Formats: sequence, C-alpha cells, structure tokens
Amino acid sequence: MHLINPTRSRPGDHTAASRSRRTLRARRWAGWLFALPALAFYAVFNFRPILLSIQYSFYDWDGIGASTWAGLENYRAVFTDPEQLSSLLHAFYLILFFTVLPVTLALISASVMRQIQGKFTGTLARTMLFLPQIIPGAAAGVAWTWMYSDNGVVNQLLRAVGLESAARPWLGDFTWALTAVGFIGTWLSTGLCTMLLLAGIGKIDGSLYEAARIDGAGAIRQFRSVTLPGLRNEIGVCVTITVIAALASFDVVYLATQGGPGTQTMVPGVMVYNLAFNESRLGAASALAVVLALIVIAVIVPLQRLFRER
Amino acid sequence: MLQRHTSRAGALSRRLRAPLAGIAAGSALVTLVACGAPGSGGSGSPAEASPTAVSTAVADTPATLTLFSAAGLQAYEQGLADAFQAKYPKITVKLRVEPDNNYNTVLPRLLASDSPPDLVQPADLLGGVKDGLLTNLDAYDKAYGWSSKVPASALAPGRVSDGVIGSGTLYQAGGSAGPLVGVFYNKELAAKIGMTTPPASIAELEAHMAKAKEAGITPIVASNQDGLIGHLYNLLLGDYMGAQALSDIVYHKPGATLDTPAAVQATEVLQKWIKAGYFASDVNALNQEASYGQFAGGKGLFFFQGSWIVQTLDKTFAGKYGVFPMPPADKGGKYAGMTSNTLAFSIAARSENKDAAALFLDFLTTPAAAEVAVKNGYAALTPGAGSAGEPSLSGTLTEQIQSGYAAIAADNGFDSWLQNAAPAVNTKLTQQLQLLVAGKVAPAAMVKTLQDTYANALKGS
Repeated sequence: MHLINPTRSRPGDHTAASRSRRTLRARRWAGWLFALPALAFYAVFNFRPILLSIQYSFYDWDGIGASTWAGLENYRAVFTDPEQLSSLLHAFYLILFFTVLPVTLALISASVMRQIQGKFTGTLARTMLFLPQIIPGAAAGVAWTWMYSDNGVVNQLLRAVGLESAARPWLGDFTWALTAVGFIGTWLSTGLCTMLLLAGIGKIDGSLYEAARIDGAGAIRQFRSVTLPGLRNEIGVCVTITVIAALASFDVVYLATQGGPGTQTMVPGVMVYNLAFNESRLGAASALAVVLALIVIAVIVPLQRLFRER
Repeated sequence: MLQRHTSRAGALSRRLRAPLAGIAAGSALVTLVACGAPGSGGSGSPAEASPTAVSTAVADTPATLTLFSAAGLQAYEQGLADAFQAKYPKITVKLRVEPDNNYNTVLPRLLASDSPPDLVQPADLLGGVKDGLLTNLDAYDKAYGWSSKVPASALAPGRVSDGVIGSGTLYQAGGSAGPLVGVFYNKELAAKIGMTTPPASIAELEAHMAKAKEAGITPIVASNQDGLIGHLYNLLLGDYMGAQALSDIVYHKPGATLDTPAAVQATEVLQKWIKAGYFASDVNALNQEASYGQFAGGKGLFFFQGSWIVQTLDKTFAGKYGVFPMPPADKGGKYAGMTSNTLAFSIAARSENKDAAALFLDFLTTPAAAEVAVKNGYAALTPGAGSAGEPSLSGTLTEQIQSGYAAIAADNGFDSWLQNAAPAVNTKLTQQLQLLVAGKVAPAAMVKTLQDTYANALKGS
C-alpha cells in the first residue's frame, strides 16, 4: 500500500491528496472484502461455536430443553470431579507417546535415511514410515483393537518369542490400556514427524556436514552439532502438532476403548463427548472443553517460544 | 508485512482500527450470543406435543413415514414396515438406520431438528417427554381404543406422569411383544456337561457353570468393553431385588433406591462368578460383535442376552443353541427378567404426519404385526396362541422364547434395564462393571456409586 505514497509528497495539492486518501481507504477495505468469505466462514463455523461453548459452560443444559444458570459450578466440577481431573492427567501422559517417542524415533530414522536418500530402499522406507499417516485415526483405532486382542498380532508375537506371561488383552487391562492406546498414537505420528524432519534435513547445507567431518566429528557429534540445531524449526512443528493431538485426542481412544476399562483411558476429548451426547450435560461438557482449550494454549505458547529461531 | 503508514489517513485508520475492531467483535458477540440462555426458545410448542383434533381416516391419504431404526433391529423393523404397507399401500414407511450404540445418542437432537423421524423408540422416555419432543398420544388412544384392546402392562412403560413412568399420559403405544432376555446356551456343550433341564435356581445354574469350567469350557460368553455384562447383572438384580423394586428405580418412582442389601447380594453373585473364572479373561476388551462371534463359534456355554440376537447371530449356528429364562434366585421363586415393548413406538412432537404415524401404531396392535415380531425372535402374547408351556430344553428356539417369556409374564416378573434409569447411570454402570471384572471395586461400593449417580441424575432432571 505504501507504494502509492509518492502523490502524498506534494502538500497543498488537496485534490490529489484527498483522492489518494480515498483510494487508500478503498484499497484497505478492498482487502477485507476479499477476505470476507473466509472470515464469514470462520466466524460462523469456528468463532461462533467457540463463543457458544463458552456461554454454555455457565449453564446447566441438556441440549434441548430449558437451561438454568450454573455460574462457575461446571468449572468447579472439572477440577474436583476425580474422573474429569484424571482424564486431563491421562492427556498429559499421552504426550509421552504422541510426541516424545515419535519425535525421538523420527530424529533417528530421519538421520539414518539421510544416508540412504535417493536409493530405492530410501523411497521404500519413507513410504512405509509415512503409510500410517494416510490412515484415518478412526480406522487405526479399529485395526489396533484387533491387533491388541487376546489372539491378536501383538500377543501372537509375544508368545512366539516365549513371552507367554506378558501376553494379555491389552486394551482391557487396567494397568496397560492407556500405554497401549498411547502406542497407537506413536505409530500414527512417527511417520509424519519423520517426513517433516527429513524435509528439514534436506535443507541443511551439506557443506556443514563436510566441515564437521573435516574437523573430526563422528556421526553422533554431527547429529548433535549440525542436524539438531538445523532442525529446530521442524522439531518445533512436530512437537506442536503432536502435543495438540495428544491433549485433544478423541478418535483413537474412542474407537479403541471408549475410555475404558473403568476410566483408565478416559481422555478429555472422549469425556466431552460422553458428557455432551451420552449424558446430555452440555454445560459440563463445554466447561471441560474450554478448560482443555486453555490448557492446550498454555502448553503450546511456551513451546512455540522455545522453538522459535533465534 | 508490517504496515508502515506515515500518512495521516494511515494514522487515522490506525487510531481507529482498535476501536473499530472492538466494535466489530463486540457486535459479532452480541449477534452471535444474544440468543439468551441456551434452549430457552424451546423446540416443541405444547400444541405440537399434544394434538387434540386427530383423524383416524388417513389410510387413503398418501404419506411417507420415517421410522428411526437401530441397525441391529433393521430386519425386524423393515418387516413391520412391509407388513404395514401391504395393508395400507398409500402410506410408505421408510427406515432411517443408525448403529445400535449411536441410536440414543443422536435421537434427542434428531427429534429437536427440523426434519425429525416420525416413529422412534427412545430409551430415555422421560427426557424426551420433559423436553417436549414426543407426542401426547391420549387423543389417539381414545380414537383407536388402544387402552381397551392392548394389555395394560404393555402400555404402562409408555405412560408418564410428573416425571415418573408407569401411569398417566401415553407417549409410547402399540401392541405387545418383547424380547426374552435370558440364558442362551450352546446345545452341544450343554449336552457335554449333562444339562438336561433348565436350572431351577441360581445355585443350579452355578453348578452347571462349575462343571463346564472343570471340563475346560468357558462358562459365560460376554462382552464388557461395552458393559454388556450388564444384561447378566440386571437379571441378577431382578432376581434378588424383585422385578418391581428394580422397575421402580428405572421408572423414577419416588423413594426407589438401589442401595439395598438385595442389590449388594446380586452384585456379590456376579463377583463370585468373575472370581471363579467363569468369564473369558479378555472380557473387558471384547465388544458385542466379538461376543456374538464367540458364542456362535462354540467358544462358551452360556450367553446372557436378549432374543434380538436371533436376528444377528450367524445363521449357520441356527438350531445349535437354545434359550431358557434366568432361573429365580431360589428354587420355586419368581422369574424376573428385562423386556421392552418392541411393538410400541413414540411419535415425534415435530412430526408432520402424526395421524398416519398413529395409524402405524394402531397397526402394531394387530396379529399381523405380532407375527412379524415373533418371526424376529420376540415373544408376543397373541390372543389364541394358547399356553406356551413350561420352559424346557427341547422344542424350537421360537417355542423356547415364547415359553420363557410366558413364564416371566406369569410371575409378573418383567422389569427394565438399570441403565435406562438415566443416561449418566448408563455410562457409570459400564465403568463399574469393568472395575468389578478387574477386581477393583467391592460390590457394596459399586452399588453405592450407582445409587449416587442415579440420585444426582434425578436431581438434575
């Protein structure tokens, strides 16, 4: 917009100045005009539901009939109801499996694949790693319930290597269900992270590796001093996406366990669904959803700072 | 892309931008949220929910009715639709099918929408009535005379007054047929352990299970990822508490409580069977489909289920299994078991074809409709059917269903599912049953938790 400013440099030429001001103003609003359709969609389908959720969270409402003002009662319940509280803790536990493990695995596999890039095996490895990414979480949830079942692949493998005693119906096991669900997340997000990191590695100047090698740096030292700093941005993206996926997980958990056994795998996403649609407590569900959103923001913002390029 | 406007226009607009944005956002807030308290608009006006001028002469007026069906009942409900259309060719009945476990989740919102189905079977009848989603059928009852031609006990579960089921205004009506919820058994395995007559008491049932366990047969097939051990639990509750006491809870009768020694005793029996290893070890990880597969695959002796499974179980398994009613707690005691009137439907308050829908309800009171029900595994007390005979291990499956149902009816033993007491109880029951299977909750504590959930839900409604 400041490109048309030259006309302004003639003070006293009022007509020109005002014309340019008009043009300026028109252009400024023209920009908004182009954005309008998108903004309208955003307002109706994103902004409005958010505001309504906030509003509902202050009411006792079954979703259809009359509602009564509940004040902060629903929020109090989020932090005092052991079930809701534990669901929040489970979400944080899942970060381990949705973020920490996948990013670590992806760093290793991306570094390894950098060496075999371009060859047929490299393409094959990339394809296989990325494959889980094109499968919807819901389908993965169903597939994994079979693999985790008493006679499923996981137990068959354990039995095959003599770990008979470790075999169990994983998703029905009180101790292991949440971890088992977590590994589904690991499987889902490792591919995505590998792809992102691999793309990042490709951008790192090859001469840096060469220089490091000349300075006598081994593979591990190269990884620590060249790869890791060079991937700062990409790791940031991976962490952000997967942490959100962990905290706001729904599809995988809903299809694999629905939060069971007991409430061992209950996560906020499933809890919100249960409260809203099975128990018809929209107020309580909205309060939990709002808290969840705030927690996600509270976790993501510092992470963004941390990974921002210096 | 930082704007570096130095022009006065720029400065002006910059000064204005914040307030403008504020006004825009504010007005957006107002327009978006200014609807006041949520739900205050209401969905069904009283006039919609309680028609007074009704017509029974609609058989010749072309109309299309939508029947909201659960996938597991699709064959049966299609059968009803076909039979109805054979009699009233001008009226079409279309099925709108939803997966079983989703049926009651979407139902309230569907009923409140602008295009509700006409005929529905809500599990949460009280909630539907409270929110004005269901049609008051009293005027139709009068016009068609249902109250005089259908057994009162079949219509009572469809009556609501003051938030209590059992009497008052009619909201769900039709004929009289229901599933037998009882003990399905694998004939081959039953012969192996020498079971020749239906057990007459819980102790006898238990003896058979012990024998099966000894013979290396899994005594009970069940699924509990979805909490369906609940069928067995509910049967035990009915046995020990008595059908009436259990129904009182489900129907919200004032003062009804689950926190009784009898309920704890029922829970203890279930716990004993769990501890004895009568269930497969992975029962908490199994869902209903898997349990159907296991039972039809000969993987266990007993299957505590409802006779609707006849519609879904592998057809090659037909003839290889039978059913008997849940034996009474003690020999000579009263039979008890859950049922629901599968021949009774509600009409959506927002339905535009109420008169035609009522004609469908009237059709459900005819023998033709009862016949469809019986064909699909339900029991119907059809006039002229005569005595169904004593429960036995011989006879066809249909005969066994009829005789089992008749035995419970003779003892006035029909009750309902505890989870139908309130949606929150449903969720909680599944969790508690999973905890019980894992040995992580004591029977008394479980009963207390369920009662607390129930009491809380009542407070809210």
